[in-house]
Amino acid sequence: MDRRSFTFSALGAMAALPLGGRAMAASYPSRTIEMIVPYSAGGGTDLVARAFADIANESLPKAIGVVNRTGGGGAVGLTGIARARPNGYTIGLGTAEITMLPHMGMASFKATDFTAIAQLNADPSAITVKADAPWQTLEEFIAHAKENPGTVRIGNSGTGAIWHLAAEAFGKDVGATFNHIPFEGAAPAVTALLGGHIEAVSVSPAEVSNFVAAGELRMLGVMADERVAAFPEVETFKEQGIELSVGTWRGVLVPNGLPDDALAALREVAATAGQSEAFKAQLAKMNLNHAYLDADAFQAKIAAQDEFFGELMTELGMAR
Amino acid sequence: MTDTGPEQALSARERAGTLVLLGLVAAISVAAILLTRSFPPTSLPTDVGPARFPVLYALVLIALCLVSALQTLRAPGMEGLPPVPGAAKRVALAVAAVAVAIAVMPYLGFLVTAALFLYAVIWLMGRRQAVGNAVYAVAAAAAIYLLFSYGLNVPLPGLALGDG
Amino acid sequence: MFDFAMLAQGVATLAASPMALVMAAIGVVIGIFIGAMPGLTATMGVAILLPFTFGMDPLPGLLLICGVFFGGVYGGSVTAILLKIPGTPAAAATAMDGYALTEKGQASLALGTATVSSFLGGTGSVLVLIFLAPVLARFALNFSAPESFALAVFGLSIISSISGSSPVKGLIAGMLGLLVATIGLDPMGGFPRFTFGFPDLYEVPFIPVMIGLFAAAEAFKTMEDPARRLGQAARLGRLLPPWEKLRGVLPTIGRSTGLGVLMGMIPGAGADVAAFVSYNEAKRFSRNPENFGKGELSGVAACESGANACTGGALLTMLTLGIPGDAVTAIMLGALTLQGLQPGPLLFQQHADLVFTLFAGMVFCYVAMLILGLGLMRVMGNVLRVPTALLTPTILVLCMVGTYALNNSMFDVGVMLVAGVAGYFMQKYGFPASPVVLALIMGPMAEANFRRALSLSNGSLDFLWTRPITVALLALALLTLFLPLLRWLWQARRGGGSARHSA
Repeated sequence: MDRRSFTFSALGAMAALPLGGRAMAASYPSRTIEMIVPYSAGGGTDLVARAFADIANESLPKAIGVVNRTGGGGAVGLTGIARARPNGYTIGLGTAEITMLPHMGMASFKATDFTAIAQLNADPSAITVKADAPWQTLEEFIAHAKENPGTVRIGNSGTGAIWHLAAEAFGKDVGATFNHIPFEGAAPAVTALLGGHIEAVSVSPAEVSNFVAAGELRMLGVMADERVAAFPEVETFKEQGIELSVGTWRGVLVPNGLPDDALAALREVAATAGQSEAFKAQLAKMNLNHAYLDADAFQAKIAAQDEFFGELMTELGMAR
Repeated sequence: MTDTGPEQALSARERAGTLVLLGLVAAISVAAILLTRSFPPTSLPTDVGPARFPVLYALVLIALCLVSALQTLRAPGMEGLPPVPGAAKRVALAVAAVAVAIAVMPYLGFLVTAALFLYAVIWLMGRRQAVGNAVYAVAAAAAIYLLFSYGLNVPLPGLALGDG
Repeated sequence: MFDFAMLAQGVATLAASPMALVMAAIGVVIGIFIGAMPGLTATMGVAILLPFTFGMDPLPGLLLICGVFFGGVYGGSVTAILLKIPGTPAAAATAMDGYALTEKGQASLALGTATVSSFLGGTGSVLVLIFLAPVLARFALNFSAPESFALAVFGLSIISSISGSSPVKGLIAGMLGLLVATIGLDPMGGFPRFTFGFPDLYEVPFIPVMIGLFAAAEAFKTMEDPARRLGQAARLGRLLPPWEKLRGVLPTIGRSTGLGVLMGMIPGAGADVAAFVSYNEAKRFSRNPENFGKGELSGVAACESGANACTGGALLTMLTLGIPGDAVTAIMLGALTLQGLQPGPLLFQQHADLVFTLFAGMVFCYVAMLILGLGLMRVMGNVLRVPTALLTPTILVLCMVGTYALNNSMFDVGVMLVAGVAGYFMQKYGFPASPVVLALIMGPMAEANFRRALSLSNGSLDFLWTRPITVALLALALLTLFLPLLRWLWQARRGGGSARHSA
């Protein structure tokens, strides 16, 4: 798919010839590792990648360089990761989209094309309304939605994006019909909520934290197993009797078929850097939820999510 | 560049070129409309669907192309300036040079490709100083490479074998 | 009630931090450079520099980013005027009259006016930010999908005023741009339209198309006749425009600054929209609108002051509400957050001292831009003395690298080449390129917001006539679209008649 990484790899293979496969393998990494970020520089995913790379580089003989390859709601960069030559020199920061885009026919890869290294961060969906809205609790909000089917407008960050699916799953679970409004990202959706043009948003707590803290918005509940550290007073859906836990995650991924030593080296680095205090502090500054998972747990989560979204999208008629 | 409205005089060459271009645009519009037929209906009850806007644009385009074609046909004729000798060939070669550069850059890397490209196009433009051109081509390619790779953190397609 | 003591203290704090001043100046230089290169945008510059600010104190770090932002918006004009290569989408508007002036041998006048207009527009917008932030804070919230749709329609109507001598050809170019703008993911359903299986086409490769249409097409045109040179333009004269020229464009600058601030405050509209809207209004209010497109100085002044005034407006919404209006302010929002400053309603209460120091620093950034800009122009102006046979191939290489750098994608470079060939033929047969750029900016905005508005109103078209801002903007759009058309029809009738008589 990607001519450039193909060439890089081809050149890499040529360079490796005189050394012999073993010599190269023994000294992984012997050159710069390229980390593909499927979203634009300066965004949340990019910042996580850069913070991780900065800290990981302290314990690596060769640096990790971050390369943004954007487009297609992440499809372009994620394809680049999945199709990269599995030599350990192209890794990527993957997101929950790897379990979603394939079901919508928007990607040429599948969630099973990736090998997990470590999950670094996870953010749940949260239902947030205006502070002057009449609903004080999730229960009241749901009751209102059931009485007025199709008129309660929930803003999300784009059709088929995680927050849209979270809201769809919410509606399906409680038996209410919402009017889902897609925006170009979370910020415009929050803006529309502030302006009173919609009733609620389903984006992550981090994306509304400013306004909740300032008393302009009210968070009714988070779709997580545990309460969010930044908002300990906001109850989870489970506490309010709704068995729903949907959110995004970000983690280090590589294509399948990496040599064992490279895989082991990467997992070790990710374990050190991903659980370091410096990394946690950096995430906290960005209002992102630190949620480290090791390779096995992460791989299992990807498989489970893949199944969940596959079923959900088939039910919603979004699967292609 | 004068404001003479639709009746601007055209040479035979300009008239033919404009008509071909308009035909091409109209053909693209028709193709776009045909392509939209395979678009799925909308999944949202209050939406007009993905095909509505492209079809609207394409229909307006076809209408505008017809108007413009009529204007072009009715415009008075004039003697065109004789074209600069070899102009079309030079432009075609320059376009081809860019295309070749895009095709080989992933294999030769940026530095080599850019230097060869510069040398070829400078030659094409009629500057015949074998050594001087070569020095400029290599220097400019190297300067741009350094600037992007180190100044701006943009990794350009491979330079050294085995790197990256 | 405005607190002058806070501002005075801010100025004092700034004056006592040489590091911050140095960083601001460095930022401006980097910004001008990045803006001037085709493909490199202010967004990219800010994103590249962001990691460097992590280790800095808040003030120098943020001023570095502000400098890049301001310089980047302004820098696009340099190459647009000198070489007809707009470094940024906003500069595509500047190129229309700026390059025409260069062809007339008045490059220095155009560059000088662009610099002074950028300075005045930008500084004006920062002053608005300082004194009117609390008053205007909630303005952006009035803008929902129907308003954004109407704004995009108004923007599109400008096609009729930038179409040059043939409105029909201009409209064709614009409509073609709109059709191209539908390539990619459908904004409501996420269905990939006209992508032919390439994920690279999921988003319209807007900047590659622009670079191709302007820069590459111009380079190909030069290949026709390599001996042709820009006449007397080779040497730059006095850069600071004479007072009598400047006085003539001051009203335009004032009006454009106001428009720019408004456009900046509206989420989703940025410097590009501001530049085109300002150009349109300058032409509407001008005593000689027929000069626009042929080297009208107030056209350059309008675009540049409008585009730079956007910066203050965008910062206003971002700082007071915590809402980023465009990609640059989105990254700046991240930068502020990382520095422990949460933009939003609480920022002015909790960190007033830093905010006012930052304001003073922004004004300093613009002063630095004026001085450094005039200095850099002198150096950059030398580009006109490079022989065409060397300059044109180098421009083609820069087009390729700049496009590649955007997204590390060779695919985009291919798109650039296709657009370059298309642009070459369009230019050859009298189809203007700027309507295509305008359509690419406004098209997605119009479609997405129309359809979103329809969803928001649960399927009713009421929003077209029940919302005052929407109605006003749509009326303005009709006026813009049909006034020149009517004027042209009237002139064509008269002009055509007289032409027939004389023939």
